[in-house]
Amino acid sequence: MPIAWYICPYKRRNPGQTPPVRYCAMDDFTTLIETDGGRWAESECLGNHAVVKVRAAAATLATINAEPGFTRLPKDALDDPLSSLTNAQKTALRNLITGLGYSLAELQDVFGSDIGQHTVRGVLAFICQRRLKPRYDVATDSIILDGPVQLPRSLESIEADVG
Amino acid sequence: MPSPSTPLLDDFNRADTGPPASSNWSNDPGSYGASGHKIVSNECRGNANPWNHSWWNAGVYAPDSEVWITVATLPFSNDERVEVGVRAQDVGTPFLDAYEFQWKQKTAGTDEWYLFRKDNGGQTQLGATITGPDLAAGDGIWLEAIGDTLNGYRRNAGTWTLVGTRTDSTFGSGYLLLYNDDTFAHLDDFGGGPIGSNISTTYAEDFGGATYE
Repeated sequence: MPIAWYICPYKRRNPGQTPPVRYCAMDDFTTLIETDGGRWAESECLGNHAVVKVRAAAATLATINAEPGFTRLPKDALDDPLSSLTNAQKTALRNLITGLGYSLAELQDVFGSDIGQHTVRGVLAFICQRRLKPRYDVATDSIILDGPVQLPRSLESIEADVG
Repeated sequence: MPSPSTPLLDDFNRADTGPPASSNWSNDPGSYGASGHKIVSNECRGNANPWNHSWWNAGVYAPDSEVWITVATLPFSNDERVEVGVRAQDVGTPFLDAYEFQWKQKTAGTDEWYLFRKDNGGQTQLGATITGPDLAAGDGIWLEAIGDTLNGYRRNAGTWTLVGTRTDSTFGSGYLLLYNDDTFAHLDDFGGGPIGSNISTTYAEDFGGATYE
């Protein structure tokens, strides 16, 4: 069964209700994935998003690919090099990472001028380096991510979970 | 076969009282206006609609800890929840942190289960929604936290089976939590503490209500 890596958002499950719940939007596809005999696991990162590994049938992955707000990495295996990415794909990947809240400076510190010289593992490990602690704001009934930096679940843990 | 390795902390066998259910319990750990739990006919019940949330104030337990309870009588309605928590910190404030294992009743389908990380009062679901198994009257709910592993179990006909496992390493030691919606579920036999311990309620009280392994 094929695997894929995604960056996908968190969503609010129960607006207006207490206690408030946010969840990784990949959960919207749990029934489809589990019907295939697959599974998924996530690590929260910056920007109210998560790095998610999914093992599911190709048709299910195609359905997930089409979900607005979800980005599938252009390569599937952690050790796949990104050297074959087009310039447009590299730019899209850099924009995705900075859009999550990582600075261009720290991106360049790690990847230099060409992210294509690195692997899927390098990019995902970079994204999984930190998240911000959420808090619930009663006045706006919203979960806000502006707290102290937290250490996310490791990439290796997700890899082991999904297989 | 897995089973909790911690003692019964409260059998709720005493005269009607509360909330809170005793001096070892405190109401509203998240300070969001939840009511607490009370004793009715030797069982534990939520005091009010819609939320009843309490913490066991007699022990701050080491990170490797667990909590368990029996749901003696199921609630009536769809989406009603019973939840237990460990590693609760900043209790009694809007900044409540914890891990929680939740059972949600589905009257027209299979019951759902969730593992949450609660950050500053907001719950973040860890991983996928777990569909099934159903919970029956008399069954138990058990959350076990060992290192960065959170295991949720259901007890049915005397046997504990794993419902789901999640990984998170954000929170360490803390209090135990109990939550349920409205007043219909009857809860009984609450236990927990440091995994593998023989710590008892008496021990906790001997140390002024605060214990730490």
